This record gives sequence, C-alpha cells and structure tokens, in this order.
Amino acid sequence: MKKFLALSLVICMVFLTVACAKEPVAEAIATPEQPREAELNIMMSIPQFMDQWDTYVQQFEAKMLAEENIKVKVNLEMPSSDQYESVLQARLTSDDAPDLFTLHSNNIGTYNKAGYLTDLSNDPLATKIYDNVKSTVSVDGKLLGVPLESQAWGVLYNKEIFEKLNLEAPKTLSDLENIVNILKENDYTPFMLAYQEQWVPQLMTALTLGGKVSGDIPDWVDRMNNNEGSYSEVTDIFGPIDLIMENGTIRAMEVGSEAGAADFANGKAAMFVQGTWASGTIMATNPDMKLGVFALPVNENEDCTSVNLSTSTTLAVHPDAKEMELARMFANYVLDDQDSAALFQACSFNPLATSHTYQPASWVADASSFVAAGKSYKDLVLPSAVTDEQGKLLQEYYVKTITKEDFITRMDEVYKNSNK
Amino acid sequence: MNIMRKKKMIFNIFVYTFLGIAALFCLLPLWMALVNSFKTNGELLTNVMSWPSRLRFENYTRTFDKMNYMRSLFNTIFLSTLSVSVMVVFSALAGW
Amino acid sequence: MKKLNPNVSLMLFVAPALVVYGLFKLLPAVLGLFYSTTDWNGLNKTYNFVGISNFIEIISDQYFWNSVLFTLKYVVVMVIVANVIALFLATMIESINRGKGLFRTVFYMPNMISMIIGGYMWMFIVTKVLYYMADNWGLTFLDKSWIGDPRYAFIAIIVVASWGSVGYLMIIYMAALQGVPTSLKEAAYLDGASGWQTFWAVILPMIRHAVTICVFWTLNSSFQVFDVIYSLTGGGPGRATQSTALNIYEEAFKGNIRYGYATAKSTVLFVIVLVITIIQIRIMSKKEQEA
Repeated sequence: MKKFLALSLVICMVFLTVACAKEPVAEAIATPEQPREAELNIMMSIPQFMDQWDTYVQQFEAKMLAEENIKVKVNLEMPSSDQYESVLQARLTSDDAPDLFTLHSNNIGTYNKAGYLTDLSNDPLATKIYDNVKSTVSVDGKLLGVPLESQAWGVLYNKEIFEKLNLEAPKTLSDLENIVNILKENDYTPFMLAYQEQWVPQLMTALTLGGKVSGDIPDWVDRMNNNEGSYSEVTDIFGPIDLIMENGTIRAMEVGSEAGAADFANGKAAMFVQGTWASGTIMATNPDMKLGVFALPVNENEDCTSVNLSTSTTLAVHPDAKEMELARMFANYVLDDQDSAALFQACSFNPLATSHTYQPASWVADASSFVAAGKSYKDLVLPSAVTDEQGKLLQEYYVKTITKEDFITRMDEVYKNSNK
Repeated sequence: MNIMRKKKMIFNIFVYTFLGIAALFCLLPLWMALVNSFKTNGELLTNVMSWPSRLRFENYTRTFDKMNYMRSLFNTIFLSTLSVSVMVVFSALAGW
Repeated sequence: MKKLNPNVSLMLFVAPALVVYGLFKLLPAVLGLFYSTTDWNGLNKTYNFVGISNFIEIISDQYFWNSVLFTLKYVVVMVIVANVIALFLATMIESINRGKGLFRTVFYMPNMISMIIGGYMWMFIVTKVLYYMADNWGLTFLDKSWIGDPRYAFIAIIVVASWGSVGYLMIIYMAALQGVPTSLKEAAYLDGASGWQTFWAVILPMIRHAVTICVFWTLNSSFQVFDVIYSLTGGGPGRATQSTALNIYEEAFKGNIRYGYATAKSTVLFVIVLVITIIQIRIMSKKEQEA
C-alpha cells in the first residue's frame, strides 16, 4: 500500500512538472515570409453591441494582415455590465490585464492616478475628435481614451401617443403634470418604471440633479466636494421623481432595463426615463416605434430643463500592453476615416469625430436640437459611491422603506465619506 | 389484510403525488431555461410561457461562436480532472 | 527505511497536503490580514499603512452590522428549512418501491448547476413566469412583489437557496436512512408503534450523526451566502437583502472601492465563522464521546 501511494505521488509530481514545462515549447516561431502572429486582448463593457464590434474586429484583423503583414488574433471579451468593473479591477491588479479596455469617463481620473491609462494626445485620432467631446475624456490636456458613447439624453417618449393626444414636450414641471393627467384620462400609463437594476432609477437623479444644478446652483458640486453643500438644497429633484413614481407601471422592482425597454416599445407606457442607448432594444422589439427625446423639467424654471451631455464608455490603452504598437493601431482604427462611421452608426452611437458624417437617428437628432439651442449641460462628475448610493436609495424610496429626509441625510453622509 | 393493502395504496398515492409535485418544482427552472433557449429575445420578452414559434438554434450556434465555448469547456475539464486527481492523492496520503 | 521514525514517515505523507493547504489557503488569508491594515483601493500601485483604524470604523458601520443580522436570520431559517425538507424528501423516497432512482436524480439535479446560473433562472421565473400565472391562470396569490418587497424577497431567496442545496442534504440523509436496520423498524411496528412514533423514537436517533453533519454543513455554507442573493435580488431593494459577503463585495469593487476596508470586514466575518466552527467541533466531539 505504501509503495502504491509513494508511486502515485511521484507520478503526480511528474505530471505537474510536465504541465508547467509545456508552455514555452508551444510558442510558435515565425518565419520571415509568413505573417507575424500576434494577440490582442480587448475587454469592453457593451455586450449589447457584441455583433457590431465582432465585425469590426474582423475588419481590423483583415486590415492588419493586408497592410502590416501581421496575423492578429483579437480576443474580444464583453462581461455583463453589472460585473464589468469588478472583473476589470481584478484583471488590472493581477498580471492578466487586457491591452485595451473600456471605462466610464467619470473614472478616468482614478484610473489615471493609478497609472492604467496611456496618453494618446499625439496619435492621429486626437485631431479627429470634436473638442467638446475631447474635453470629457482628457485630464490636464492629455487625451486618455477614445470616446465611444457620447450622448445627449433625457426622457424617451412615444411620439405616436403624444401626437394622438396633441401633447408637446414639457418645458416646466407643471407642463409635465398636465401631460400626465391627460395621458391618464385617455387610459395610458404615463411612465415606464424598470427599477430592478439600480442604475436605472439612478438615471432620474442624474437628470434632475443635472438640470437643477446647471440651472439654479452651478457651484453645488464644487461645494459638495469641499463638504460645504447638502442635498437639502436640491429637494426640487423630488418633484419629478415623485410624479414619475406615482404614475408609472406596476411591478417596477421586477422589471429589468431590457424588459422595460421592450415593454415601452410595445406601448405599455408613454414615457421612459432612459438614455438613448436603450434605442437598440426598443427598435428591435418594435421597428415601427416613433421614438422621441425631451429634457426632463425639474421645477418651474425653464433654465433647469436641459438635456444631459455625457461621455460614458471610453476605450483606453493599457500602458503595459505587450503589443503596444498594435493596441494603439486598434485605438486609432476605432476612429478610422473609412470604417468608423459605419461602426458608430451600427451601434447608434452619436457622431463625435470629423469622419462621422452619417445622418443620426431621429431620436438623436431630437436630443441634438436641445444641444443646438443651448439647452444642455455637461454630466455632473460625482464620486461613483455617490452615484451607486443614489440608485440604492431610490429603490428604497420607491418601496417606501425610507423617506425624503432619510434620503437627504444618507446622501450627505455618503458624499462626505467619499471626500475623505 | 385488505384494509392494510388499501391503507398502503392511499399512502402510496399520497407519496407519489407529493414527490411528483416536488419534482415538477425542481425541474421548472431547468425546463424554462431549455424552452426559452430556442426563442428570440423579442419572443421571450412578449410571452414567457408560450412555445417557441419554431426551433431556433441560433442561440446555440452563437454561444459556440462567441463564447469560445470549446475552449472554456476544455479549461473546465482540464482543471477539474487535475484538481480531483491531486486532491484524491493528497487527501489519501494525509488521511492514511 | 525501517529505521525511520514512524512519526517522520507520517509527516512525509501529510506534507504534500499541508504544503498545498498552506500555499493556497493559509497564505492568502494571512496576506489578506495584512491588507486589512492598509487603505489600498484595489487599483493603485501604492497604499498606506493605517493600523487598526479600519476595524474601529467597522464598529460604527451600520450597513455592515445590518448585513450581519440579515445573514444570521438567513442562516437560522436556512438550517431549519433545508434540513426539514431534505429529511422529509429522503424519508418519502425511501418509503417507496418504484422510481427511487428517478426522484433521487431529479432532486439532486439543481446541485449540478452553479447557483449563479440557478439564481438567474429563478429570477426569470419570479419576475416573469409567476406574474404570467397570476394574470392568465388566476393564481392571484402569486402576484406579490417578489424582489421589491423585503419580506417576499427573503422568502424568494430561501426558496431558491433550498432548491439548490436540498438535493445534496437529501443524499446524505438517504444514505443514513439505508443504514437503519429493517429489523428495528419491524420490531417497532410489531410493538404497535405508529409511523410517526417509529420515526421519532427509532429512526431519528439512528441517523443523528447525519443530522449533525447536515446541520453544520448548511450552517457553514449559509454564512458565506453570496451567489443566490447576488443573482436574485442584488441585495436590493436598497440594502434590504444584503448578506455580509455581498456587503464586503460591494465595499471592495463598487463605489469608493476600499479594498483594505473590505478585507478588514472579511476578517471580522472570518472570526465569526471561526467561533461557530469551534463550537461545532466541541459539540461534535462531545457527541462522539457519548456514542
């Protein structure tokens, strides 16, 4: 028995050594005539556009083979957006960092401090991006990422229903109340509520805080960052929030963002507080949908009724990328003069570079008209703990486990803690 | 004896019904996942309980295409074989 | 070879297991202990040593203690519910003649699926299928806010977690039940004991070791509950169904990403589990002495 055990131990050890030693042997040796083989790891947080990016990556591979004689194998990963950040963090701190990855433009500061972003200011792509978009992804004049999703957004509404009842986009909160009443008289549910995922109710605070702060108290964020402000200054945000929550579809906590978008497309409600990024699901569910966008009013001050201009998904290059040259080439290819426009249009991203000459979708044009009229503001940059907490507390506010006052005190606390 | 048999039969009917219901409950999620895997997203979101309009294998071909399914399957098999064999040997040694 | 001290050769045999255990279990744990005294954010390449201030902060962290309370509640309910159902199912299956294998396989099936995936499957049922049944089949009692109302969300979590673990417990109970000699049951029957009496007085004492094992297994696994809640409610609404593991996860990867503080929290959780394990070992060795 002892012999057998000792033998199996030896076998096991040998097995392990072989397994460890095998790797270097497997590496391919390139001959001069054959194309060089290379691998590029890309991680992105937009699984809803998996198909479009897959095609684009294939184009890139073909282009590299034809022009640079490099046989690139691109590994494109798209973890679900819920887990994306934790997966990315784990990969960055281990030795398994992707060569290119996406992040939210609000996190550029943090990631830059930690040394995970490459300065792209001198790359050809830098001259192509519109200036107002470029400023959202730059720190100290350094361009640190390629903006992908940059948008003007507000409340989505069903144009067909609005036209049938002769309704117009609201300018003030009382306009919105009026719309809600007319919709209810005609047996329409005014708002689609989909609160299962915390980032969806959070959109209401993004819009209302943005409108209130930009229109009435522009220095609020700065003061909050210095522990000199309070959420009690912005109680106006509960005007629209209460109105939406009281006049929405039922079972909100059980409806996820995708299901909500599908229900909205099928006409279950007339309005939906959701960004234009949901248009993909909406148009896939109901291709005949007439989708519109208006700015969410916060109070009776028309200056507060503006659309939100934000860059969310941004593509960054990791400074330690093994194939640095190749990684940069991909980053530049994203804004390629010939192919980029088709990609951005296919994902219904908004035009953000000189080569993007396509006609945007009608709802994008809707939102852009607000921007053109000067009724837009740059998305507030709040600590991500604050944003997360707003989503959580709005869920609790909806199921009535907390009151407005609780909301204010707890948000003030969280903001103070994030300033530490 | 007759009463005994009758009693036994009633008992059996009760037990089998109960176990049957419990088994249905156990299988419900698996069943739903199987049926819905043949639907498109739109079909799924509009009616959750209906039969798929036809057997679609797109979702499966997509999975194989996009997920590197074979690769992850291989990883899983490789890892579990290795860990189980190492575990068996080491535990046997330690236990002995 | 024969001159070797028996202790040394024993040590040699234990060594591989010890090395693996030390390398992959103990080392990360000790390293983790170190991070709990820093302010590392899980991202930066540098961090500062902050002493025990993380632990002092935990004392007044209301969210953390709420999650501990929730976990305790979950553990207690889970231990009772899962074990009662498992034992019940095991006795039932053991009492029938046909289809034993079929039912055993069916009940064990959920165990073969990762609970993350199981949780997502159930979320679909809870948020879609149940409402479909309520709306179209008139089963109005199903029309509850299964994720939005903290009370019903707790029930949903317990149901799904039981679905995932009962099969495993049931197998252990079945094995123990098969070890009960038929002669004892027959003797009890001849003495005029009812089925109920036989179960309490004869069978249960005979399978007590299985009960102990199952109870402590559920206890330990319930304390670390994460995947079911993560995929089903995400800890929501707000933080109403947040378990300790979920709270730690959010601290480490969401919001202010305070990795050091999160490690301090997991150290506290570790101490709690350690205390329970010590009690468990005490009780078990006592039982063995009695037997």
